[in-house]
Amino acid sequence: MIALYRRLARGCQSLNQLNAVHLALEFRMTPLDVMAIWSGLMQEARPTWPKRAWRRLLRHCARLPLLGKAALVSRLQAERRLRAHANGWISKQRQMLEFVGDVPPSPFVRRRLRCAVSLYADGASPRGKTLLICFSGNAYRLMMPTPLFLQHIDPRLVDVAYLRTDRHHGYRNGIRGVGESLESAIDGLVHLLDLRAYGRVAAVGTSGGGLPAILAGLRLGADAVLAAGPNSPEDRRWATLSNREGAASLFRRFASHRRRAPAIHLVHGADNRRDEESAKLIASCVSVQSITAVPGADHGCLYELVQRRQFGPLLKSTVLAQESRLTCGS
Amino acid sequence: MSDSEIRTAIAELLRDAGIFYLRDENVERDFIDGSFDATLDQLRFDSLAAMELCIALEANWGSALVPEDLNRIGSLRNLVRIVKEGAS
Repeated sequence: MIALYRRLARGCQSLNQLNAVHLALEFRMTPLDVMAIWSGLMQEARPTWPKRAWRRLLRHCARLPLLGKAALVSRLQAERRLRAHANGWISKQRQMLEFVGDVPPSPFVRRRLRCAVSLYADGASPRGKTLLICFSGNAYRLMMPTPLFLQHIDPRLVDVAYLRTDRHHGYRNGIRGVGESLESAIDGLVHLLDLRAYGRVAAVGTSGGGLPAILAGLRLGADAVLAAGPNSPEDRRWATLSNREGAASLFRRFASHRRRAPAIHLVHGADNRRDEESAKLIASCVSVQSITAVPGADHGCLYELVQRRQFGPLLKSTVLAQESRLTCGS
Repeated sequence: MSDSEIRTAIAELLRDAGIFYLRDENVERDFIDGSFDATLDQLRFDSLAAMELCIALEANWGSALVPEDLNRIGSLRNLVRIVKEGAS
């Protein structure tokens, strides 16, 4: 992992380029990857003698009154700034993991199943475990970096499937490599993720992934769904899927094949009116077990819960609840 | 590059960065024709959105803005001006 990071970071010449690398890694890494990069960057071995000699030469040249040395000095300064930025980033990632609790990093291993589908698991048999199908939003994340999300989950009990979609298409055109419509993509997940092997199946969706998570939960007959800041089902972008007959029609369409109804839990930031209205509208169309407004939070309400140490308890009381599912009809 | 071209591109970048303030079509149209301005506080930038916007600005126009700079820029109008100066 550290070799991959070094290769990616070597090509970066600006803070924005390095930030782009960091963002891309934040939705792929596991907690163990974070620790590997942290160890690699923070405990870097002493440079070999040719490297030390080269650096000394550069520093010496920078002090000489040479023409064009400004470029050399600024390059050295930029390199130092980028190195400090990288160290700051990985330290923050590690601190976030430690903030979750005094536990070792969750030993998840990432396996890419399709272009837009990854499975994080510990490699043990899925029998008796819970599968958490996570629909990320427009920013490809679950309102927090993926390692931080995984650190809240016990890999001995839960496997995590992470899904993403092309920007602004919001799963309405399916999931790349799985299906070209939302319905066919959800059906495709049954085989791809081997849903029948699991003891429980639950879905989590954030932002643009919230509504697809609910619809997938209905269609798959999942045990529970947690949707954070979901889009409004009355949004014109969903009009085609609801046959222009409104939100209720959309839910009816996806619930038509269900074997059982999931326990649906909605979370939204109390400061975000749009999300509050969406949650109310969803609750008016389909039976919802709970609606939680996070005080003082905007759209990214799950991250606020992490900072208040309330995200773990939320997962345990909703999608990871081990008790029997409560029946709720739509 | 004209003001309105830059504004159209910025509106798209803001959407990509998850800034929903301009999602309302009327607001976006007013922003593109220059009759609407907003402070960056109003847009409710979080750190991720700020990073994504700066990455996109650099990729599109070679702008050297970093997230910390957005605080001193203040408003969308100033952002358009800075991008235009950088692009010209």
